[in-house]
Amino acid sequence: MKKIFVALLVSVSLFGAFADASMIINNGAEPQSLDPALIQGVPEQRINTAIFEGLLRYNPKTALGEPGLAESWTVSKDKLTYTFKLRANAVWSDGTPITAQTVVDSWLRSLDPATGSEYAYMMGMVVKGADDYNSGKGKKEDVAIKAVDDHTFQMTLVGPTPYALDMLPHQAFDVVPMHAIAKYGKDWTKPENFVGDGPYIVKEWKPQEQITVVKNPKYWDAKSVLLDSIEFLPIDDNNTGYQKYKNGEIDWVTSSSIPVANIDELKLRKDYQVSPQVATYYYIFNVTKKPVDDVRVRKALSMALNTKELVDKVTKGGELVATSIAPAMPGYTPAKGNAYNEAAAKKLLAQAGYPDGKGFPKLTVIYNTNDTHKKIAEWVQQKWKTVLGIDVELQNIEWKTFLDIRNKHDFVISRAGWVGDYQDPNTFLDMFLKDSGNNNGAYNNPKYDDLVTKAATQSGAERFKTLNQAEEILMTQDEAVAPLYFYVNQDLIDLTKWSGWYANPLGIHSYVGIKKVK
Amino acid sequence: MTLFRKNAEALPAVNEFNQAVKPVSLWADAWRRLRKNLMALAGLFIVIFYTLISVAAPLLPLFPYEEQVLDHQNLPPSTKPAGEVLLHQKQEYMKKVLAADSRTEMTDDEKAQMASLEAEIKSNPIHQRHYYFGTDSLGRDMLARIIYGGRISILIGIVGTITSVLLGVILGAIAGYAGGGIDNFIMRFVDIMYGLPYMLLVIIMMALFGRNIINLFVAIALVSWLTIARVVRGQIISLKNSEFIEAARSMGAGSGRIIFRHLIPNSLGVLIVYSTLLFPSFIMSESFLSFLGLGVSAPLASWGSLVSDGVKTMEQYPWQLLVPAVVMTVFLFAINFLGDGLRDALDPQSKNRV
Repeated sequence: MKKIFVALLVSVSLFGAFADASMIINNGAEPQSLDPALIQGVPEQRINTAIFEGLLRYNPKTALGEPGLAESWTVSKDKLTYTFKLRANAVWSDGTPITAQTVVDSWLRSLDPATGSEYAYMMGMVVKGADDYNSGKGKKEDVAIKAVDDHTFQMTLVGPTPYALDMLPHQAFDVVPMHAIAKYGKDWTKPENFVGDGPYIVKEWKPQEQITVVKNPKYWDAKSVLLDSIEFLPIDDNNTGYQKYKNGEIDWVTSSSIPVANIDELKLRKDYQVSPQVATYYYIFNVTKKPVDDVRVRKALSMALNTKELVDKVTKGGELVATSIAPAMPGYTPAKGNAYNEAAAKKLLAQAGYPDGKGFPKLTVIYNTNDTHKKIAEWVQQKWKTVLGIDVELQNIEWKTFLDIRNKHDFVISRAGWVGDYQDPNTFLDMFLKDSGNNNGAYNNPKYDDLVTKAATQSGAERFKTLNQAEEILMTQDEAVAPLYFYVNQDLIDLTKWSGWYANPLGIHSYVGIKKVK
Repeated sequence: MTLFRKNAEALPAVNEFNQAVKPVSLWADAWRRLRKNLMALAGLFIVIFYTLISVAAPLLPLFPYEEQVLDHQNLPPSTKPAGEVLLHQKQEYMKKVLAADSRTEMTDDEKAQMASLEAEIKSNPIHQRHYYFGTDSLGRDMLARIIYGGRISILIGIVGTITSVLLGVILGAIAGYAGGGIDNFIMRFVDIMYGLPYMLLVIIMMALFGRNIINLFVAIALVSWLTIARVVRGQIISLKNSEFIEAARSMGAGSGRIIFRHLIPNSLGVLIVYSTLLFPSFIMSESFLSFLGLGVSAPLASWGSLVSDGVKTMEQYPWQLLVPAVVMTVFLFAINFLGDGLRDALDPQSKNRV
């Protein structure tokens, strides 16, 4: 009897060792939604890359585009027309085939003003006719996308945008199961109704507890999907996440969930991965609200912050001081911006009518609940107090509500971070267009809009020059946001236990090819 | 009425052997008994000590509680000057770095860093500061933060207790004494309020009326008078038909006088016990709210928010959790012992026990 028991135990543990190819990720927040058209944040994107795929998918090493639903494509000589050939074996997880018409319908759904997609402007920037339809000025039929036949999809761009292919893996260009949406309406993202085309499909969603996705056997590249399941935990207390990681209850602590309070300890760990990231941490000013509707106040607030001190002594992760919204990229020099200068900041505040902060209205700075953001906010609060003599209140808000408040422009100053959706300065600049769904500060400067829109029709050095001019207006002249620093990717993952995980400039991981080694 | 009092003043009190007896007031009697209770006395002194420090905080030679000295992050409690502690901390860290890289020598870069730190510590007077309770993750003095945090926590305790006792006593006494429809109405209202979850109500009120300290006071006080009202009502009902009340009534005392001169003083023992139980529970509620991020907002601190911050780094910098937690616990113990002693002292039943 005893022997049988031991044998049973051994077989169970052996079986366990092989079958338990599951990864547990601290995602840092409860997602806004699972609908690709309705999401904005990084926590949502982390789930999205697992469950949906567009024409292209992210290469895990470079975060550039690589063949996804489309197995190949051709580009016309003028670089305006792209023709994609879709995979014949591309199907939804319920077996329904994905055709070129599905792509057209999905894109039109995202552009439809009734959908209310905050990210639709991204498609509007590049695809001809898309912006007009999205803003209600044009017709659906004029959007320059079409299904040539069942497996051929064609799109025409507004200009020879060099980053077009690299932006296609982004969720704004995802394909969605139109047949399931027609059947279930708003409930289509619920686990029991869920249909997807990504490497994983949603199995379970316990709000504020976890989202479990399991391997999608119908995925065209299913042989490269090496994990059985992935669990996303919405833990917004970084320390709790870190303790769980140390206990082996979490396998990967993502960048936004790194406990900054423990950074000295983290730096000594072998499983702490740091790498440069195309991302900026900044404070948005709502330019329609007093007192930050005055550019002098915005400049004063921004120039009062010694961001060098912030990155050296508070965040300490190797972040770089930022004075512009877009980081430097190959070929692109960012705007000069307004660097830290206490004397000038005081002078500007006095000119705006608040000498030494006298008479400055009490205002509230909002941030999403997170230890790191709290620490930075307290630092900023103290700097504004000592340098400018003004008092601000801090208020932490849960992620979903936080995004909601920002989208409604119902704040004066808000914490924000922006991770590039592709590796081009345009991803940082086009969100400040008047009609952009991500223009939370309600920035509005027609000259800026003209320049950014013009850049989309240009190419090469000329395009970068136009973008730089635009950014000079946005940052140096108008100070639409107060940039604090450029992020680095900070991840806690033991690479001796997991293979196929690579740090990349966007910090986006497609989960395809990630394997448990030990 | 006047006649009786005059007589009472004219004739000195005598016992059965016709010896003059000095009358003993309730409070003198209570104090006499409290003095004999060592734990309660210790509690009393601790409470007085905390209160004095909190009141006198602006006069004490403390560093500003919101001042961030970023060079002095996470320094442990010590009687040595900050510079020394900092240097020691850096050296220990360097050792760990070397161990992690399995090196034995520091690189030139690291050596230069250490040297410049030493020079900086010698030249800058800020490094002569003493942090007896250590510093937090932004280099703020924990001692100052705990004292200023205590001001807020104790204030919440006092304001909360006073408002809820006042509300509870008045409503409970009216309900108990008047009885009938009024009693029914007030007590059913209390029942309904009981049915609502306390914390949820406070959180909703905070969300509705904005997050500031005054609203926090109001929100906590408004939902916590219920138990007091019930207890007082019970006491009043059990007392209102006793002989001394009959006597007072027969001498023509009005309802107000009976309630406030006779009934409430006789319920005082129970009231005091409940207040001393309430007091710490207010501090705990505030701590809980601060822990959830709904309490006081930065740069202000309360004991609760300090503990909540400390929890995040308790493995690496345990004093950030332990010091405020111990300070708070000692105070709560003291209040509880004091309350226990006061109950014994004020209880009319135990008058002859001593």
